[in-house]
Amino acid sequence: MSLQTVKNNTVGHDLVVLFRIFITFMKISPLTFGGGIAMIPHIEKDIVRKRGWFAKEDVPSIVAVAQSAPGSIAINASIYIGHKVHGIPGAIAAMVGMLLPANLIIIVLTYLYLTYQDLAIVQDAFKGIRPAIIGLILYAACKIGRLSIRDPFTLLLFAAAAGLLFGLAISPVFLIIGGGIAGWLYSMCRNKRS
Amino acid sequence: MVLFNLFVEFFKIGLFGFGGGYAMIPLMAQAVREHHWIPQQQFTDIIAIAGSAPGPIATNTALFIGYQTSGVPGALMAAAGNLLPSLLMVLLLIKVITNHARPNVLNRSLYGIHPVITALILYAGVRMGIENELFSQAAEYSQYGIMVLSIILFYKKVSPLWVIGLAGIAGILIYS
Repeated sequence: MSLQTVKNNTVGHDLVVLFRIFITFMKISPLTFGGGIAMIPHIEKDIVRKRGWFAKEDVPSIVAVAQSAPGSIAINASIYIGHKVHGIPGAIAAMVGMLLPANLIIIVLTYLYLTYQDLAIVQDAFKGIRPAIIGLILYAACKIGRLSIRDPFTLLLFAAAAGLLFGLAISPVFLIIGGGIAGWLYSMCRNKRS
Repeated sequence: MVLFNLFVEFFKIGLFGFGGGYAMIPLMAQAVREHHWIPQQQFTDIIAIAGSAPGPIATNTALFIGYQTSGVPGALMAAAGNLLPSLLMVLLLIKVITNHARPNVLNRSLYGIHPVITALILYAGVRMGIENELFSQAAEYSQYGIMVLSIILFYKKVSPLWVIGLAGIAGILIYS
């Protein structure tokens, strides 16, 4: 099919755009080690400079949305960008492109894990890996804590949540909703006073 | 029914996981404890595998739990449930966000949600440490050494792939 016929045929054109979105994110996906923020330089290089889908000034708003919505930051960013380029089909194409290579890798790795988990050498390796993962999670808590605990009120919320968790094992969802309401009420009152 | 359950549980995890992939780990740990989908130690192992591979750690973990519970359909339902809230919430935010500014109500709620998420992740780390016999008398000093060293390496921005790989090699050298 020549380029001219692609342009004249809108359905064909749609598919070409969706496929291009899919391929772009499929290439970024294997590079996103270590959490979603690692993907920002690739957004700037591939999405802004190479494809021109976004202006450089728009990158902070991509990050803002990706961090405000629940879920993986990389996935949220891909949904946002895909939607801007080609609506909801674009959002889905970007999301699937972001997921597919990573999922294939994880399927191979878990297959290996399930097959060989009883070998002594694998058991020994995991005896070393498990403390590293606990370290990774504790480090993640420090990282998000450093950004979010910034005044006495947020420190109090953190302490209250930690106390309720360790003491009473309260449901996490309940705590998250409570934190949201508390944060909303407190900043409303503070704004009225000032 | 099991499939529907997986979908609903992972939808809930996706909906309340404010603050990126690590925010979903405590919610998943809680759900694994409640539903006994997989043993706790395997849950830690799978986070290790998902964390050393590229891509979203939560989706990768959802795929594994779904697969272990009810095969390929389970994996697909868990992943779909986990991703759908992201899709819906990002599309909703695109509609309400104007001029690069987040609406006040969202900013104010996240101001209170993020400290709670911090406590949740910390709690998940400690709970997992207990369940893996790291914070117990059965633990060996070398395991604490590996934990502290990895925190330092993560702080130095070393890729998780390297840290987990090195920890595995250390495990083989020390414990075999």
